Amino acid sequence: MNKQINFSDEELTAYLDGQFGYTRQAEIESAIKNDRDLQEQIDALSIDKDDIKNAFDGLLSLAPEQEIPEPRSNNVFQASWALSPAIAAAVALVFFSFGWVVKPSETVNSISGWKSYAAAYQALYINSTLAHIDSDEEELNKELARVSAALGKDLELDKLQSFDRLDYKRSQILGFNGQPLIQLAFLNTMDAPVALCIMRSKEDVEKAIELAEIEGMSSAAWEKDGFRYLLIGGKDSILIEEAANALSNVI
Amino acid sequence: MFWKKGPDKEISKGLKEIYPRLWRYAFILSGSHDKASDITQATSVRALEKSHQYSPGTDLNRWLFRIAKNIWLNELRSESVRDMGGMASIDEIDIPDAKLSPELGMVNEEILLSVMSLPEAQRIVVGLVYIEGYSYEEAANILDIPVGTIMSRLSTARLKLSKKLKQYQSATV
Repeated sequence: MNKQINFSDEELTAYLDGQFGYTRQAEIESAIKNDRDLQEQIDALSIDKDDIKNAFDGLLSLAPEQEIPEPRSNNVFQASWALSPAIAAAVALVFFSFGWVVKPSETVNSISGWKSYAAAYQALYINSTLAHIDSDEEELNKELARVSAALGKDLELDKLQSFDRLDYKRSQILGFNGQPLIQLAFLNTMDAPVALCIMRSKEDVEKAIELAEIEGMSSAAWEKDGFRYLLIGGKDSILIEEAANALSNVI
Repeated sequence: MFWKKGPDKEISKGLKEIYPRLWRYAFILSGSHDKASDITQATSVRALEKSHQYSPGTDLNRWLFRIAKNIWLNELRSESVRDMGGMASIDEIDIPDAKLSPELGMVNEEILLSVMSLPEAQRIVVGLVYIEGYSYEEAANILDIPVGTIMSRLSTARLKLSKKLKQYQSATV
């Protein structure tokens, strides 16, 4: 009588998964014919992987529709500097010779860093991203307390709800360069969702509201009391301007 | 080559194709519709931000799954744990409503619940290997863990799933 070989559950799992590089396939196939214990061990590990995959394939149709932001840079002009230091140095010399000293980020995008990233994030929002959110006042206040603590500035629900053409839905803590970037999201069923993004400023300067179009969306940016603000979303520049005026007075 | 095409366009195109799968994986990670959407959105933005770290022509999907996993484990998971006072219990897992998606059906709902009730570490590996179809080596690469750990988590998950689904089948026959 052949001596029984013991196989671990891990090895049998690899066998059942067809990952034969991690298992003794031939020995298992030989032993399984006569070894009742091994048959039971395999039976205890048996699942129908197709059933599992089919069940989870049903979730694919439930994924929300999203717009992926277009690449922000024109990559035709992306140089492989690391591979060509001599050529890079020569090009830099030409630029300096003509006084064209431009920061690399500005050649890609003239929008300052945090606004550009906040805009790219906002470009993914559609109304159904927010429409299902139905938090009560207590939940909204709890959420605001959390983001206020991260930002170092009190954000009050009644002030966020004071502009009646934007329906305040939720707040999130995002991050940019290691600093909290707060996103306050508003539903605007007449157009597209709008976000008020806030970051702490390094300098305590005042900057009046400045309107711009970023990533195809209307935006208004201002600075006040040591914080930078960006209101962005949709294409209604009049709404954005009016909302920025209203919110900058109360926040 | 001096001028080369950057990876942004490949990433943007790849994101559009993989978005539902990425969202499903995010759902397996988080057990929540909303968190899954947050993870998927954050993954899209992060992938474009970090496009210089991607080598065109390599496995984009695996790179995106890796980013999604890192965003969940390093950034959003702790927030979720705080919000819920711990990880989601089985009662809190936001399994899609069968009425809203009749194609899911009763059996599938039982399978979804069985997988989603596995401990997080096992559930994530089941998601990558049995649902996304990655090999042990590829899953180990995405999760930054040894292949032996993948095997161990899968065998434990198999024992639990096998027992649970057999009980369900015998109860419904």
